[in-house]
Amino acid sequence: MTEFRQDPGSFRDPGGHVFWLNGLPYRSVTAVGRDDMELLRQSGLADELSAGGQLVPFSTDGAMPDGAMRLKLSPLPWISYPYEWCFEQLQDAATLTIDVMLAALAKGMMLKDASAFNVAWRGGRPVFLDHGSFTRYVAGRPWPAYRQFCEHFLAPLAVISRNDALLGMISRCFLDGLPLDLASQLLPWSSWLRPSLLIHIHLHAKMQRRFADSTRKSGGKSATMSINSLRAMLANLRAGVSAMRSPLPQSAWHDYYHDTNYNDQAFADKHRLVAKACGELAATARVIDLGANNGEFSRVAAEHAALVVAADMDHGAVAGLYRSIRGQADSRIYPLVQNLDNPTPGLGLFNTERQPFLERCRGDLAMGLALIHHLRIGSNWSLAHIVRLFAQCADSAIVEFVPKDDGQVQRLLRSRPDICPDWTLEQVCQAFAQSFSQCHVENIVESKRSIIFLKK
Amino acid sequence: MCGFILAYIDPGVGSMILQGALAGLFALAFFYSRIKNWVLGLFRKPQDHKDD
Repeated sequence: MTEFRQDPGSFRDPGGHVFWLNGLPYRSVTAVGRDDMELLRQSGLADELSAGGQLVPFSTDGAMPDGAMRLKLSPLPWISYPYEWCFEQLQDAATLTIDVMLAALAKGMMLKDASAFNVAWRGGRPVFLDHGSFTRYVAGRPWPAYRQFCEHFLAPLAVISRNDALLGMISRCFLDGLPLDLASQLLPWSSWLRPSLLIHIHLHAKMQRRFADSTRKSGGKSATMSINSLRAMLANLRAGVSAMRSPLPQSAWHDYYHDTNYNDQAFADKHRLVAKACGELAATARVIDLGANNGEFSRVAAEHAALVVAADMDHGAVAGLYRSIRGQADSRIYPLVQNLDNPTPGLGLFNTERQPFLERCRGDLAMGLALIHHLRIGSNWSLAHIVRLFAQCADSAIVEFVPKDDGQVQRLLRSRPDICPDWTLEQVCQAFAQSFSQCHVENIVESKRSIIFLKK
Repeated sequence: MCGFILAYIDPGVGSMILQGALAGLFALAFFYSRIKNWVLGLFRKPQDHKDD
């Protein structure tokens, strides 16, 4: 039976919509968007961008029952959202958007929107996924997506860069982009001295306020801009984005593996045990690495699996992992920022437009290395909560048990009473046995820690 | 059909007027970079051709 599902996040553009057929992505192109789609294909722009890895490849695939054109899209291994990216990922997504816009201009087209949700990832490279964003360039007209680019990319990047990486989460609250007047208030006075921020955020915010109640048509003839001016403005935006630096503090986590109770032998043995579990995976397997830190063991998993989702709450650790795979389209690791105490919920229209993290993170193996003692002792999760997390992610799991006399747990208990009498290897295994039929424990040599291998 | 009719986002009146107002500045930047590249090109050593 054919399974049809409209993509809940694709409903705004009258030119077409994304839908899923038997789990594969397609796009319908209505009569409104047909001319633009023909131009995208016939101008050679689609082929050029696809060949360069900047655009998700597609092919025409007949017609819809209502006469709309049907495109078959190349599936992406994993979808994440801008509020789950580290600073550098958002920066690279912004640069890609400008590059795609410049390439479009060279072919007589442009982007009619510049949403950060138009960008996905193929390994360590951003890829543009909204084929409906391309439209014919009208000479002399300003860029209609200018405001959206500033709100989705430039403003969040500037606010994060000038304050704290944790502000990456602010995009969760503003799915339509960070309002420029708010961004202008959040930026320090020194940002007025930087021309790109002065123009594109501060003056831009003032202009928006000034004309907020205007009855003038934004597409009217009063505002004109030559293509050379438009190109210079895009170059200025690109330079402004590239010049920004992540404000990463010295986080507690990105140096975790150099600051733990492992000696070289224990560390090597942990590698061996993880490789043993991953070695049993099929080549097409998906691994969910929760609390992945800097991806030390995500890399081990990536040697065996087709895809490794490496989630961690620490921006510094995620940024470090992303830097190590940046630009590599063949990387199987997908880093993302995720706080398991408050994972990404369903957002947008009816809370279905953007999927919750826990609905997306389904795989063949879930890994929780040096994680669950933080959930139990640090965040007061019950053992049942921990078991539920791993059981809903995959049919197999490996988790590391760190006992109370380990230095890391001692550190957690230093300033709080011990209210976790069930934190013993035996009771943790008993809890996992509620959802996993097989539970096998191996100790990490030269350490007090153990790896628990679980299967349903 | 004009692309603006198809655009489904609000470009913002202020955003469009700002671009129009700054068009001259960006045009200047465009030609400045062109002239700069041309002048620098005069002093750049010609690259060896490897036609053989």
